[in-house]
Amino acid sequence: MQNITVKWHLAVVVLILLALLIIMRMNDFHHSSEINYQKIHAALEHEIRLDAESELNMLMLLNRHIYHYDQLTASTHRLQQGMFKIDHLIHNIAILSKYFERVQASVDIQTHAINDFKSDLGVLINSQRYFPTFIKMLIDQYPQHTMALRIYSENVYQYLLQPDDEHLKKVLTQSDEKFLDIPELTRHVHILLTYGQRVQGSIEVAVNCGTAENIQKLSKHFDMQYEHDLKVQNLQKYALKAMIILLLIYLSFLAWRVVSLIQEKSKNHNELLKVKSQLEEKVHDLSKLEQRLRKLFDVIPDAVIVHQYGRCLFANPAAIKMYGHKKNDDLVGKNVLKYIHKDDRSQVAQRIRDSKQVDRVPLLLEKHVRLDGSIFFVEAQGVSFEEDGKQVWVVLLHDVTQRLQEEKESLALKSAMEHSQRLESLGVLAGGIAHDFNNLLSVIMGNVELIKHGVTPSNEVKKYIGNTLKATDKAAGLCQQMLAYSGRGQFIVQAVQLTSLIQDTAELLQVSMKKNITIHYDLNESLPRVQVDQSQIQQIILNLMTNANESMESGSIVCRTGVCHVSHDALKDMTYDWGVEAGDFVFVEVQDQGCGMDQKTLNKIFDPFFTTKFTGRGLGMSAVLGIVRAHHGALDVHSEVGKGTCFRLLLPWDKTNNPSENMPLDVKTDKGRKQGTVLLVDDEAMIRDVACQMLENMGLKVLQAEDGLEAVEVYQSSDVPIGMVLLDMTMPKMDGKACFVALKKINPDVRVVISSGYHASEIQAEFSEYSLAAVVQKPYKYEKLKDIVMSVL
Amino acid sequence: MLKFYAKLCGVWVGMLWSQVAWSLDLSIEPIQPIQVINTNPAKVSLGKKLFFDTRLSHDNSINCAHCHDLTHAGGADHLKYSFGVEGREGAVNSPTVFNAALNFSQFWDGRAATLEEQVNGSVNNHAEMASNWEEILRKLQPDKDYQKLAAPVCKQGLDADCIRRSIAEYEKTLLTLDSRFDQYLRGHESAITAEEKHGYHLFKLYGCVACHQGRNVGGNLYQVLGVMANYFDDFPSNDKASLGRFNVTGDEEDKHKFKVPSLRLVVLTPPYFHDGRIEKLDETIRSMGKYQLGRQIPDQDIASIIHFLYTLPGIYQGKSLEPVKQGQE
Repeated sequence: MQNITVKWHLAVVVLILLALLIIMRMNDFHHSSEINYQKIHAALEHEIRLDAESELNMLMLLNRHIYHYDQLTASTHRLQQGMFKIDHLIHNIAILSKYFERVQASVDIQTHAINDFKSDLGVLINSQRYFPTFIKMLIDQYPQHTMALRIYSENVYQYLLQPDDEHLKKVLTQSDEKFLDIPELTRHVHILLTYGQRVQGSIEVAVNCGTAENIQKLSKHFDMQYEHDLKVQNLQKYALKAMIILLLIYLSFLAWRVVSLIQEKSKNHNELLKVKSQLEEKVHDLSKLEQRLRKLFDVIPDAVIVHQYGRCLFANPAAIKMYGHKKNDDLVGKNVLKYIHKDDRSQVAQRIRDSKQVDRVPLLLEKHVRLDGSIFFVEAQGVSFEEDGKQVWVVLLHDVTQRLQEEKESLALKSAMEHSQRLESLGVLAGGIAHDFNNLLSVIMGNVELIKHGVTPSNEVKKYIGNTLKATDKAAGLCQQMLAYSGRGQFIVQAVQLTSLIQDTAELLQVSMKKNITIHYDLNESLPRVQVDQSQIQQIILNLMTNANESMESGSIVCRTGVCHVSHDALKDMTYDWGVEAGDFVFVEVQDQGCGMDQKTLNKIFDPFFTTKFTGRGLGMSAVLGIVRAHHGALDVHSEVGKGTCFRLLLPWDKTNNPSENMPLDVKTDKGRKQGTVLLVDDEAMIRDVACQMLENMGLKVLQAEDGLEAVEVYQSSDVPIGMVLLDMTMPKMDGKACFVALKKINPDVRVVISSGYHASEIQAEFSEYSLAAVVQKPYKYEKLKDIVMSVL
Repeated sequence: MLKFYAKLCGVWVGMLWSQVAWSLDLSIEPIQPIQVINTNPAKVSLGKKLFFDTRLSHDNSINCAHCHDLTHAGGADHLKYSFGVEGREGAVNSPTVFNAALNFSQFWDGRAATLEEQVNGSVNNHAEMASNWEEILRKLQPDKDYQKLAAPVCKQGLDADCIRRSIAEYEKTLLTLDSRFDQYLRGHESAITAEEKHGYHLFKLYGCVACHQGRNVGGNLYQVLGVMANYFDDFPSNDKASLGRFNVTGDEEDKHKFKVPSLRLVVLTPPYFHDGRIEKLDETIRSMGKYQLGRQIPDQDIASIIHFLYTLPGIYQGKSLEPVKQGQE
């Protein structure tokens, strides 16, 4: 509405200006009209003067007052030039054109007449001057015509004086015919008779052509027209004056309106200034915010991408680096889908398509691709907003590749740990049971041995005692396997060449195989020796071969030995965490073509009491694992259902190649003493009883103590020298080791035999600082105990 | 000191009376001395450059000086008919450009009332420059020298009108001032010899001055060629140019009527007549006697008249145009 008003006022102002211009133009016109009026009159008057001047010049030439045509030519030329000037001055006054044309016609006639006059006058004068001389020449040339020529000459002269005398002209014309044979005379006479009139005629034409009259007419009509124009102009002036007054009134009104508007505008202006100031502040704040955000985008390690329906609009330095670009321009403008892995691409594209419906996308894990094709994982969090009517997305991308890897590894580790802990706890359990069970077996076995030695039974009773001993042997074997699993079995470590070991065992193995199964050996003859317990390794091989045999009805089992290098990573995949270091290993591999195992079964094969066999006890593979762990080796298993299983036993290769000598930890052959006192220390009364009976049967005196403290007291208070102390390891109040230390203080040469169900090497390690006389493994048989006791005493 | 003033006053009085005497003498003389025409120097400079610019012709081969050689041919070209672009031959003999500003019209038939119109004619004539203003302006307007020269002269820049006016202005400076005869007219009795005075006397006596009079010794009227004897009976011609002024007015009386040529540089500009038919000056005077005066002029008188004619060329750019020896023209 306001715009319309402004346009309307503007239109009025333009009209005012136009009116003013018209007024000024009218004034100019009037002024120029006056100037033109004067100029035109001056030109017309000048033209009349030139007309007169040219006529005067003609007369002067005719009367021989002047002798050249320059003046006449100049006046004629100026007359023509004057016409050009007049034409220029009045060409826009249409009404005068016909009067001007009349003047121009008369001037043209006059000019033409003057030109004729100039041509003819010279010829006439020449003939007039020459004629007497010419007559004289003719008289001299034609004396017979002297009279006739004189009369002729006289008549010509008379005619020139009286050109109106027609009679004389007739006479001359007739006479002329007499002299036709003299053409020059005829021509001269013709000129004399006619050119005079022609010259007169030219003058008359020039004078009477009406130039001056026509100019006066033109002047008169110009004056009339001018007066008419003046009247019209006056009327226009009055009208304009009236209009000016009206316009001035309107201008005043406008001025009043303008003042009002200015006041209003001023008020608005102040408000606008205030708004402007506020806006500027906001712009400044926004600018700061933008700067901060830009810095933030520049500095944060996560990628920030702004895109519009997939087309990248902005990418921060981290994003450029993340995708392997070098500069911003390489990423901006490109479709972000290009960087999404094909597995996730359709899903992301769908999200972009649905972006209008969703404001915020939850944290998503996506697989992205770098320029070089490498894949990485990101956590993407997007938020959308509207910009210039279009949906724009800001997406924050956090590279989680490393974290995922670490999580994966951590999960695997945790799982391994849990498994390991489970096995360990099971090992502890198995070890504890085995220990206690061993003690019980020791009692049973000891008592049965005593019965066997002390009684003379009938054949029937002897048979029963024999069955009881066989059963207790098997129970002891079971205990040994449990102890082996728990890593506390009895070990005799020595340098063993595994190839030789297998070869020695080959016969036994073949016997235990099914008939349709053959064993193929692929053995490395130059295999380095390893420090192992031969019997334990044999047990492993036997166990593996037995399992292979049982997994198949027919086919072949391959047994290999060799040397290999195993990396840390490879070890991680195959061992439980008992700290096996990477390096060179000697391996024994048993590969069958049996039914194989699925992953679920594989995960449990080392669990104690887990079995797939109807008759199995579930301790074979557990024992294998325990033995391998005790030897600081590793076991690698590959199995595929329907194809078979391959076990690879890895044992550290002792590169020092210093095969240790056999360490018969439990045997020290010295049978020199057969008499003496033995201090028997064990917290189990039944064991003490059985052992006491056995020792006494050997002819020895036995002192007893039920724990370490009592043993020390007994040892100190004994009247007789104690030749040997049979010392249990696990006891209340004071355990075996503390007791041993105390006894050593009393008597540094005290001879102590440790009695334990645990592995001999473990005992050896425990007492590495001290010198033990021997170690006897529970449950011990009479003969075994006798050999050790006799060797120590 | 008094002597100096007395001498100065004497000189002034002498000059005053010589002017009076000069005026009195001149009033009865058919021939008048040439006077300088006032010109605009800037316009003259532009006109001079244009006069010598070959770009005024269609094929950039000829300029104004091609037919009006100021240095060697007395402002003409010594040819019977001039030739224009591509060797095209003109229909009439080229008159001198010297003193053309004093002529009352231009061309033999007077079809150009002014020098400006003459420029127009030559530029557009198929047998001369064969060009047109559009073509010329296309060639000249980008020229920075012309832009510079035209700036103070032509408000609207270098256009056809500017070119015409500038060349005309330059031609107004092509005057042969202060000839020996003009000096004689101004009272220097000894400026011409007795023989030459006799020639002038005969020039008047035979009536040559009937047409060859005024400042330019001609050039201020039209006259029929063959007043006393029919020239075109003797030298028949079917050439339209031979009809002369008739081609302009269509008036029967104007047939064979031509602008009377100036004799100021006649001794330098053979051949003669509109058709360049006569090479020699004596023969030309003889023919004039026959066809224009109706009388025979003796050879001796012709020689005297020629002597007189040699006093007419004046000085251009400080150098006398008069041949050193008669007969070397």
